[in-house]
Amino acid sequence: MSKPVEQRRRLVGALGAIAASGCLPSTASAATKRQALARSLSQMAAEYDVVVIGSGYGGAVMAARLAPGRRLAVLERGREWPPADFPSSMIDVLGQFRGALTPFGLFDYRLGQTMDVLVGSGLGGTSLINANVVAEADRDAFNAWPTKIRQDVANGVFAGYEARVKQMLAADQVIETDALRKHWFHRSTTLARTRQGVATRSVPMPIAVNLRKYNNVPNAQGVKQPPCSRCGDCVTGCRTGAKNTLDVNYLPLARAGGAEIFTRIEVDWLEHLPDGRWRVHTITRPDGITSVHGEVIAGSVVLAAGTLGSTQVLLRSRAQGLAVSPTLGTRFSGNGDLIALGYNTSVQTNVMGFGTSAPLSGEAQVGPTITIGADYRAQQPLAQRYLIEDAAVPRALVDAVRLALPLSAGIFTDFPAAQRVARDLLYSRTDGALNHSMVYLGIGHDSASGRIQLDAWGNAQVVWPNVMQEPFVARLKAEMERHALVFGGRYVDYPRTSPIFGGALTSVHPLGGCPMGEQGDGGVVNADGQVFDARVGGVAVYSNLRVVDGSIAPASIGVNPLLTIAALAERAAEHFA
Amino acid sequence: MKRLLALVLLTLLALTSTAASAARGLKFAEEMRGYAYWDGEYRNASVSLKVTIQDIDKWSVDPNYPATVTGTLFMDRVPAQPISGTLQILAPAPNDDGRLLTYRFTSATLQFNGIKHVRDSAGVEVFDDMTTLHGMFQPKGQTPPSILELLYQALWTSELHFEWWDPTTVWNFTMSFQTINTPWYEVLEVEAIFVVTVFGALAHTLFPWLC
Repeated sequence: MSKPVEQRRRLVGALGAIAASGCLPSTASAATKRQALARSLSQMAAEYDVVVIGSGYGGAVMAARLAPGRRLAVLERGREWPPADFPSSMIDVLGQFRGALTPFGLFDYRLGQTMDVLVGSGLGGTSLINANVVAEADRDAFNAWPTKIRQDVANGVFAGYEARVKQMLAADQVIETDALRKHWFHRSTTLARTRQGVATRSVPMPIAVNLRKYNNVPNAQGVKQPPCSRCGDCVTGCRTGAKNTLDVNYLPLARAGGAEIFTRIEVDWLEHLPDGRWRVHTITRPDGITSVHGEVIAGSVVLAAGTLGSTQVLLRSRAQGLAVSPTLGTRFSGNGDLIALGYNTSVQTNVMGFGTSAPLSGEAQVGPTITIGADYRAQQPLAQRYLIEDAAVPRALVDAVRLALPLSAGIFTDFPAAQRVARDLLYSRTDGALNHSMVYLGIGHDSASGRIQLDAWGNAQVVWPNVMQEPFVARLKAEMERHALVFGGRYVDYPRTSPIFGGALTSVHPLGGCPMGEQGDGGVVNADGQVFDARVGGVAVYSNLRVVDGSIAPASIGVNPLLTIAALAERAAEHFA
Repeated sequence: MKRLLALVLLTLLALTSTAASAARGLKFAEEMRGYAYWDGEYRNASVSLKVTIQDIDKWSVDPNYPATVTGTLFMDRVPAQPISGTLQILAPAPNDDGRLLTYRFTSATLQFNGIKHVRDSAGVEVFDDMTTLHGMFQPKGQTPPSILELLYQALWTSELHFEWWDPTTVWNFTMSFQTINTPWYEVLEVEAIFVVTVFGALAHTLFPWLC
């Protein structure tokens, strides 16, 4: 990609992300020292039994389960992130948007015409920058999935995989005595909506955060973890080291099982060798910028580079001659994500993250980014179900957001509301409009009719012309507005969603692109993640090439998808032969 | 005639001595509105208080002197309930350069402890400091938060405002002042003691018609 174009893309991406208020990153200081998991690239062998590409919820689980007894390598494009290295200021965050000049950046923000996508990049994948919600999908969300998966769901086998993941991720949940204002606020507005006759209920969200289990002692995988500091900065990387990211559970388990983990190595494309093995074409950047091409031979490949990453590798491989299903790139779903704010209510919500800085006066704790949801899934057809979760603004974005929102929110004539806005424009304090707001992450169901294709530089991009007309958008907006109104707040679009900034949605849960199907004309992979062999057609697969990540979901999941993805990986690992 | 004159003098003397022996006081009404966290959710709430300073002279020299508070608490989806308690007006804030108005009251089922923190450095925001009550509603009998916890650990969960921007509220407040055991010729003095003590130099700006 040319430098000016790349710089422009990064700038626009960064601005969009800043505007996004509650969903992105920031954070701060030194925390727990951890033993490095990754090896030097010079130690990489020429051949492995299994090469796992990517270290997110698919790759980390597969590596942990497959490593014992096999020579297995994990290839991660990003870097390893000790907690103290996560960005803490807005400048730091801006410098961590991944691009040609910053290939090891933490945030992979892909701009689209109508849909942007944000995922994490680094050892542990998106677990580094998500809110770590470990939620089960509705059972009928699997109706569009292959028969074998549906059977496992119906007979409880899939629930066993989910239970295994929950145990590994040590999911916990915020309780009443944690006294988190944003948690209380969201519960209060949800109860108000219930009283208004709406079929909803308030549900604490299980989260993979060490809220209280380990107090600076080693966790089950031997990684020392302090408890959550309630700083509200989950999504810019937890500088406390309290998030149960994959580098404190599945990846240490993989390493203990013999996996060789390498970072800063990106996979370009895959070549099927005559002997049935795979040549994995790689790119490394010894100086951080210049690309050096390399290769490694794999008896078996597990492609787990994420929805965009895995689809991108297969699209590039197809361009090099690999015969894959024509459905490659289809069924993209943003998982019905909608980010917005209930702005300037009368209640102080404490949504302003403080990272490792001292909290502002009047705000002792914010809490994990997501703690509770308003659940609209009961007694509704699948397509009309949704969740609205609470969120927080990470420290790095607080000042930008508090100054930007008054411009998009319009004028308040009510004196206290106007006074709060004025405070935000004049000071960084807890009695301003931003800290009387609620950041919402809505998750619904979309039609999964987006498409992933390669742009002129060979990078995956999302194309979905009519996504703003998807019914979930209006449904979520209307309900978020009503939540905001309970305490006199005003619905405000996530800035990138506003027509002023392009009117695009942003998904933090991209799915699809390599959808599962019963056979090659209906999907890219089968229920076990094996890639259909288009040379043969039907149910024939490349038995030693699997895709195991969010890209294989054939439809929106309707909740934060990490549990479903990791459970799919547990299943795929068990079926690995 | 002499007898009548003596009777009048004696009566006047008795009245004067009665007035002098009972402490001069002041009472006023205060309404505040906002939100309260109660029984697992935030609710719109308001209180209508009658504050009685039984001895204004003692109060003006002793910042810890408690005024008595009675009134009614209104909270969404909770029946209105009578409340009673105390109010310390402008005691020095612990470990701080400001002062506190400390409200403590109870009803049959709940208790409230809260503070208004008036910072010395508040500047024009003294209006907000004087009128913003941060506190915690709890079931009666629970251990209340300490002043330090309310002040420095942000443990408060409810916020009530005397709505100084609302002319009706301000009018009702200013018109509610009544003296207790105060001869007519000392009424202004008692009111002035209150205003000057509470608002200090700001009294001239806030309530010039009372000074």
